[in-house]
Amino acid sequence: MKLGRFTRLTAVGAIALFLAGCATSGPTFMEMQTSSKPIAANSGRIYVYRTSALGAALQPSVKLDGMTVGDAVPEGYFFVDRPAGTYKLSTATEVDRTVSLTLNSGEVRYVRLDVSFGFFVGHISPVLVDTAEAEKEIQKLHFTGK
Amino acid sequence: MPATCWLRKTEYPKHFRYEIIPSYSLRGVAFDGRVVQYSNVSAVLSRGTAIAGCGTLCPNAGATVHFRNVGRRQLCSAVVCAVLLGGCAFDVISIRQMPANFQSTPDSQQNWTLAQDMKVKLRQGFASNLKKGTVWKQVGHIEQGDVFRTGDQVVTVEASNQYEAYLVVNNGMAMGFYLPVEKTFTAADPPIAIKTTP
Repeated sequence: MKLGRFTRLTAVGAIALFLAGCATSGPTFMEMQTSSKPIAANSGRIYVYRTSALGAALQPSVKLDGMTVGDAVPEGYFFVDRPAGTYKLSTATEVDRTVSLTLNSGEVRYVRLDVSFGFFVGHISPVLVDTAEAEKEIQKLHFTGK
Repeated sequence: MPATCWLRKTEYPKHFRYEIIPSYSLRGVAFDGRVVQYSNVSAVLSRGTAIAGCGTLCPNAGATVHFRNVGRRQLCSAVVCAVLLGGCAFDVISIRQMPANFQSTPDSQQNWTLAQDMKVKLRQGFASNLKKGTVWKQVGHIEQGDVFRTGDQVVTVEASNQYEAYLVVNNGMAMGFYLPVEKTFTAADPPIAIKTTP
């Protein structure tokens, strides 16, 4: 069956619009570096980012010690500053996934939100990432914080 | 008014007997030769045929309990579904932890460098591979040994969830990990010798 030219163009346009709608906006990490605020004394910073666009419709809240601090937006990142201490960062889809971490004064931690398949919907798992690896991965991601 | 009931299973040499206990929900799968009898409402079910028991029970003696027969095909389907769902049990694996009494040693000068890559196995879950060249500093002590932390790599233990971890060493052996957030210890299986350079 042959599709008419108009139909094909319409389909391509619709797909392009759909994908554009999925694109994460906001300045990139690189662009934000110069303007990001310094970490307060006695506090550390936790960057949370998601590189994968897989399961783009799945954007659960990210909670730090039970309090929502952002969303798991594909190709996006945000950060939270917290006093030195111990924290649990979690996401919830059909299951809860948690990473526990320590945070020292002046320390920067990176948590990546990995996507995996689930039974009904995908899972978003937070994982601690080495600084060197995270700094490479986060450069082109877009700021999605408030 | 009908009441729901449980089936309680008692095994006999040649058949299973199910006693129906009034006032509880009826659930479960049983084996069925499907003789339902007894005035006090019991069912004698012989080995070999499966039923999915769901029904209601009149509280009066002599009430009849209805069972739905399940054919072999349905039974196989149920088993396959159970296996599949079992495979999707998302929180099956969890790290075995025991409480640990952590004592900080801020004045410790004990440092060493890992001389080769190392993999510490756990009974359940898995731990980060420890990288050659990472420098470890003692941060405390627990019953199982001295607790070391490195700033050169992220160290975690992981099952369904992930936990930041510090290495526990005793007499040159990696004994396991101390989880600083949970304040617990998870043992290496088996403990493994570590090669270090001062």
